[in-house]
Amino acid sequence: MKAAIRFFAMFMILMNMLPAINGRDYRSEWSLSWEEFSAKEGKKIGLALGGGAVLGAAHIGVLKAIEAFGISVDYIAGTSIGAFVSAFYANGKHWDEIESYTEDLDWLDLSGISFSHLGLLSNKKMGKLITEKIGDIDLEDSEIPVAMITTDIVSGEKVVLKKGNIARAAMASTCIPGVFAPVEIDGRLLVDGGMVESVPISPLKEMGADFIIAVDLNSESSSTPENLVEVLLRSFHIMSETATKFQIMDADIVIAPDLSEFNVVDIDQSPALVEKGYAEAMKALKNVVK
Amino acid sequence: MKKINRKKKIGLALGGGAVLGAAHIGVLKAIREFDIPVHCIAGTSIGAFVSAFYANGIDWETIQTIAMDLKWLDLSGISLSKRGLLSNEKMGKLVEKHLGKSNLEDAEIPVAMIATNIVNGEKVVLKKGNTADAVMASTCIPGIFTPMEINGRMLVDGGIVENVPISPLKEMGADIIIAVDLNSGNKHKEPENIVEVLLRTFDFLIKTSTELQTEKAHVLIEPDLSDFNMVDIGQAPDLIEKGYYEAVKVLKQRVRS
Repeated sequence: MKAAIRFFAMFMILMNMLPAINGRDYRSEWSLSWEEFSAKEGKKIGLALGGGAVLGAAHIGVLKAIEAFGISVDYIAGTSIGAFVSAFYANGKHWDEIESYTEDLDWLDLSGISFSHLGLLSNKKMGKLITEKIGDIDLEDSEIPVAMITTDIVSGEKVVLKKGNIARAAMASTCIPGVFAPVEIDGRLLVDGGMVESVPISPLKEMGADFIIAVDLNSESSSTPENLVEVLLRSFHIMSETATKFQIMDADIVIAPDLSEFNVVDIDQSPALVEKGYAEAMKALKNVVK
Repeated sequence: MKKINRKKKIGLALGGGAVLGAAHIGVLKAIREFDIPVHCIAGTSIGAFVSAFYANGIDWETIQTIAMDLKWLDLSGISLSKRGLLSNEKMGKLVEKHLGKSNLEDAEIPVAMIATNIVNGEKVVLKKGNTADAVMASTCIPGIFTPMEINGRMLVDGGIVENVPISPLKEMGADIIIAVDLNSGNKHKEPENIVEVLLRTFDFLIKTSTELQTEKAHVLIEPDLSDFNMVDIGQAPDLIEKGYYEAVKVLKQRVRS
């Protein structure tokens, strides 16, 4: 067992040296537009939207860029706030519509705190907003096949949701442990998928994507956490960042905007975050097409 | 398996695990019975709490009595501060009550405690300064307790970076490291409150790195505590028993009588 762990660690270190090689294939050969690319190469494009609480507004800017390039997304996967955004995008909502929904989402507002025995806040606001905008539908009924990542709080296992009520799945995936009470689905107690796979690339591969665009919101931050949610999210980040680095190597394009100047809870930063996400996505996507 | 040579410098690493830390007391009992001289000790989180006393010459029986007073994770007195739910002062006061105004560097056995700098995620090994403050920092579970400021750094529970504190013992000159890992068992029970939800989350987030870190221990004591919850101090007698039993089982094979 120990030998296996050691082997795994060495393997991972070696893998670390690979992305430079991985990325080169596409970058040097490409002179196609995105549309020509997917038609000619027959590549199925998967979009992975990562976790990061309020920083998720940057995903909306990424979607704006994706729409500007005319990229048609074949599969989408989301973790945490990425799951929330993907619920809308998978059901025909455009970036500007999604942006207008988030204006009211004072999701992490701790002023209305009510102490339940498993968490501080209820995650219902999030579910309600989804049902209101796209209807009371199931994941498998979405226009674009969509998967959401959650964590089984009992076993620590990754649970990928592809079926069942979409609002409830998004509530589970955004359920930050210690802040929100876990969400029960099919007898399992689920929390935020960021604990197991913060940038959800693995489900896209299983779904059949062979070209993956990933959005990673968790850049380094050097600011002092100002409240309980920030303390928690920073702690989770410290513990999961190594795993995320390995997981993200499987992406063909990584969009990682530098969001270190933002905090993870204040919704007023949304317009600036959307802008940041857009600018970074344009840069990253331009790099690989003519 | 190599036998433990009592003439070598033996270091003891006591890991984190909230209330499960009572098992450390049972391990200390076994260590005394096997007459193992501890040259240096390191603690993370609840392991830091236990090591504060042990490093200052307090025996396992007395630590057992002290631990019974620890209503540390009692959420009934909850008060929401800005950065956490509770203040970790209870922990500090209990240490001070029994050790007075002591500093880490004055302990009888050299001692180190692990904390995490919450701003940059770096491991902070405390070997100097006020003992109670160091224990408060090392046991400061994020989201539950307000981070503790020491020398301008904002610190939380060391379990986030090194839950079984083996690395400081090497630096302190230990030749043989005995490590106690409280989280090796596979949990299967549902968490019953917010503290357990959080501790469970931390537990599986750090599992892989802990496995890599504990490989470096020469003697690893891993009681299976999966039947216990991590917050109820009422389980302490059973936990002590479990820790003692597992330590005896391991040490019997590794120590010449």
